[in-house]
Amino acid sequence: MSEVNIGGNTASTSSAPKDVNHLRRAVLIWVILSIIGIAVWIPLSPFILPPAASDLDVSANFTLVVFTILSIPVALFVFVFLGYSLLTFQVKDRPVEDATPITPRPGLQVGWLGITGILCLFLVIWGMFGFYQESVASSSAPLVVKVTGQQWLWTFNYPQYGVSSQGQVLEIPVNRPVQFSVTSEDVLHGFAIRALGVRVDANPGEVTTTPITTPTQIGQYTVVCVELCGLYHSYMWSAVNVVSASEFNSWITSQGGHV
Amino acid sequence: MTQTRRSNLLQALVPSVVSGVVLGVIGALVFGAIIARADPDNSDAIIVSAYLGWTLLFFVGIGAFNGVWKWGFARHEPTADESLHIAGHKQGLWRYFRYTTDHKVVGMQYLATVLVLFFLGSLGAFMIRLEQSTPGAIFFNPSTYNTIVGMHGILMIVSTIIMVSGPFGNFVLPIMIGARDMAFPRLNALSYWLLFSAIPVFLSTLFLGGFPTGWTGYAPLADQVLTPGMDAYCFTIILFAISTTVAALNIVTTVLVMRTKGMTLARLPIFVWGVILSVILGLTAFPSFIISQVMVLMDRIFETSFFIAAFGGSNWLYEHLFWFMGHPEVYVIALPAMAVAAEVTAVFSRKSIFGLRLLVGSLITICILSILVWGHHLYTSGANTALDGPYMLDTELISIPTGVFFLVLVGTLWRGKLWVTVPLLFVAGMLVNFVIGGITGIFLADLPTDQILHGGMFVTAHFHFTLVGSMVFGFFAGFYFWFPKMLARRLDPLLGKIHFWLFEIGFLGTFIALFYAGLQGEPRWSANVAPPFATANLIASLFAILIAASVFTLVYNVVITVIRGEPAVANEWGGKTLEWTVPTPVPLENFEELPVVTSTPYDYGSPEPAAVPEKTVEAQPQLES
Amino acid sequence: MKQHSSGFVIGIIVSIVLGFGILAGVWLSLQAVGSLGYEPGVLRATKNGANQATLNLSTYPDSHVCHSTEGEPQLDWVTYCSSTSLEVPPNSTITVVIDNYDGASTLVNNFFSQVHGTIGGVMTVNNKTVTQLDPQDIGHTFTLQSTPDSAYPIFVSVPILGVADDAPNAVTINGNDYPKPNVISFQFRTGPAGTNYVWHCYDPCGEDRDPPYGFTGPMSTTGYMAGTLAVVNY
Repeated sequence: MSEVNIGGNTASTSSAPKDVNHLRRAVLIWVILSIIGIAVWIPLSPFILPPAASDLDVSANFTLVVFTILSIPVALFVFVFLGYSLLTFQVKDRPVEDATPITPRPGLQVGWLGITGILCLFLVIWGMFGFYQESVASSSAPLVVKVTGQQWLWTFNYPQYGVSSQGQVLEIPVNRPVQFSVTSEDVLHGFAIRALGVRVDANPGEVTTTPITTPTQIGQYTVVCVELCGLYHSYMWSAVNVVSASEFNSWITSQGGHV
Repeated sequence: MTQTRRSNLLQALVPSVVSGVVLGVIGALVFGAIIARADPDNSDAIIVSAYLGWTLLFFVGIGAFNGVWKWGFARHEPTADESLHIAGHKQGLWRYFRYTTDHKVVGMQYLATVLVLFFLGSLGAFMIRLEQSTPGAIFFNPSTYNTIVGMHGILMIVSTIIMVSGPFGNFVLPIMIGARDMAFPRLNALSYWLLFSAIPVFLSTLFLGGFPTGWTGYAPLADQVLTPGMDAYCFTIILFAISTTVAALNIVTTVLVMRTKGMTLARLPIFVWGVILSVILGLTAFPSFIISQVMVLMDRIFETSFFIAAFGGSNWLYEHLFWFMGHPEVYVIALPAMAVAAEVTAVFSRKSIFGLRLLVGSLITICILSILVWGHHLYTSGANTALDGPYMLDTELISIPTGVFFLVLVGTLWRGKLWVTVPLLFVAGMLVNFVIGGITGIFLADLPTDQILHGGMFVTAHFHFTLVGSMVFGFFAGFYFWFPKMLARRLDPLLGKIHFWLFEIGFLGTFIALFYAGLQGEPRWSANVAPPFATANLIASLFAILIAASVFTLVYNVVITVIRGEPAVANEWGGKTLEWTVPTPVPLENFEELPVVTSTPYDYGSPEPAAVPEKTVEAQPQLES
Repeated sequence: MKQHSSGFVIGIIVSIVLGFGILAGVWLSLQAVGSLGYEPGVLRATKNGANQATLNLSTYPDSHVCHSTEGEPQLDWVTYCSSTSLEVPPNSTITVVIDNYDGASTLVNNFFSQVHGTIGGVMTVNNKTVTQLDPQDIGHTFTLQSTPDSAYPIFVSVPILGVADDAPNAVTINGNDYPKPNVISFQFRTGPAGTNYVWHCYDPCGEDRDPPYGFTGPMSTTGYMAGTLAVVNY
């Protein structure tokens, strides 16, 4: 843990309890609560985060878990020291004398900036790494699904098979990399599938693509619109059916496409 | 007899806000009618020209041009009597309803307006939570709901931008730097009345069909000609941004030029630092906002295609213009509130700020960095992926100076002599909420996590934690702190504590539930809440009832205090900044003799280790009627 | 020091009650401000037999027939009549008959040129059974959609054949002349009572600018080209 030194006067004017104990006590409380917090968060996280159904979503959920683990001591630092101060250094009614000023020693300043800087850089590098992984996730010939957003419905085309999906359903096979190429006919929409960890805006006149993601779990998930697009924005949902490869092939044929 | 009464009434009413409104309405009708003859099918043109007419004639009616007429073009300088009259001397309560230049009057006008805007915005919030308490569009149909969401958003954004710089930046700041008034008193009045004139323009959207875009007014949707209600939004923004630009120029000049003798930048109170950095940021950012709205209006009225892809425009242009403003704007909101918190903490810990120079440095760093981060709102827009990395780096970097803010405040409280008053409680609440808000901001700043969280309720909960939980709490800390000075009454502390606890508990409950909903994947702007998120939204709505109760408690407190509150003393809290050295109520010219400053206002405690010379204030100000 | 008496407590209660009263007042006035979120009166499908009902709708190129009290520009808006707030009985076969008096407009998404979700996957146009139309000839669509989480998801979309541009006026309704309509008919099944759906036209038939930007005006306004469908017992 960081060694923090607070410079200043140890000779107080009033009968203060042993000064050094306050800092040690607060740090101890902080460390214990942080350990408890992390120990509670890790088993609890699968219940707070929705199930991840693709490699991208698994790694995104994992990032959330890790970042929260890092945040717990940071948040608790403020809560503990704040709460400790409010409870211990409180004066009943109005104080009649001033407190002794303390100034931060250069060591504390550098240490604090250094630690927050390192934390910050860690988050940046983690994020850049994740971003890099997404962008180079190459696989020969992912399944391409053309998504067209319109006020207020998503329609899905499979140009590689020459079919489009019936209505509010997007059908994709499990364990096969898929990429969504998204556009809009009228205004801005946001194409998002939480369970697959992809999200990109649908822009009129442009085609934007999501990163390549591979669904790993069969099941039913949802596409939602995450950019306010007018009257029925909150009705702009579609169902995502992740099915086995053979089911997908028979679905394609049933729609009149060629596998 | 009646002759005098009538002429007295006329003298009272003209010029004042009454004559302003009357003339403004006439102007709106006239201009609207002219354009209706010229281009009857273009309802946007008619409405916008009506707004132009309203604005122009409102300012004629309220007497904004009287100064230009009498003293402009180097005719002659205003006489002492004229200056006193326009500053509201001997006008009683009427001075609050006129084009008054006294910074204290403008500050009170801002305070009243901010409270009213907050109240209206809160009503919108309660209606949103009511609608979102169960699935289905039950209480409002989706079109009305979208309008309510948009109105709540922009009312709150407008209020939070001005909530600290407006009331306290105007009333307290000049006294704090030892000045008699602002550098440009007439511009001060202008900035307030521009804000006032924008309010009817904005509320007119209710009668024009509302607007479907939410507070961000995203372009292709904003260009859709459904109802003229969208024009109300655009025009309000233009007026408001001009108002803040004028106010910002005033504040910057005042702080740079009108500080009293001995107040070097090193001895400037932290509150002044916060406000001046915030307005400099606003001067950089708000022109982009004005331009984006002008372009939307041009698309709507003149059928240009700035944002319409089919004719060569791009919606990404709007997003960049908007967020170039939108991100610095949250720091425009944050910096003064953070500075207020630091100010309040020092007074109620009876201790100097722990690392004043560190804090000033971090505020400056936040100011500079915040101009460079707007792209993080565009991570999932599909534009410019090459810049995502640098934006991410810069956004994460802002967390470093923000962390310093926590260090400084906690260090100020640590081993202080804490007087736990309502302002200090609000600072404590701010610190708690800001940590959560800041951390969740980090989650959103990182690309992989933004991929699953953008556009969802997680974002909503994050910015409510920062804007409301931190910044509005900072406002309330300042409100309870400076209320005795501004209104010469004491707010009831028990009601204040009830207000705080109801607000904090309700706030935490509401928005933590919404964090959960966001993690689960609920999208924003959901008129129809889907069943998987129903429980979280219901819990949030139940906690919101506590927030509502806190708002009504505040209203009750303010009302009974104004009516029959205890009078306050000049230095209610024992603060050391200059505003506490003047009498309450503050005389028209603030100081009998301008003070000379010899140290920072934080020299609490024994002088030996800090080696700070004692501050001397030379003259005792006297009461003026 | 002030005395915190019972008057104080009453004061708090009164202000909270008053506060909520203001809230209710604002809500009611919002409801009353007519131009926000206009929704017309309900049109119920006529029951004709056990688990059978028929819904009769028309589409017009202007609003003189069922929005004649509106001013400009709504009077010029294309619209579904007699209402867009529809109610149908549960667990029934609903037959929808649409008389279209309006011409064609460019379809931007060919998905909507096909019939989706009806019984048999077909619709009849002037008594001829088809499964899709030429995108150039389509004037509107009737597309019914739900949230996938609803108890009984329904997705129905039919293209509505537009009348020819040079068709002569043949009928007079409420004093307005229109050409001979194309009659489109299709059927779908409803599930249990209590579910709500929305429907919308997906052929840009709104006003403002040349195609492909016909998405404004009536296209996004309930009462005209967008509405709701509720499954209720009656």
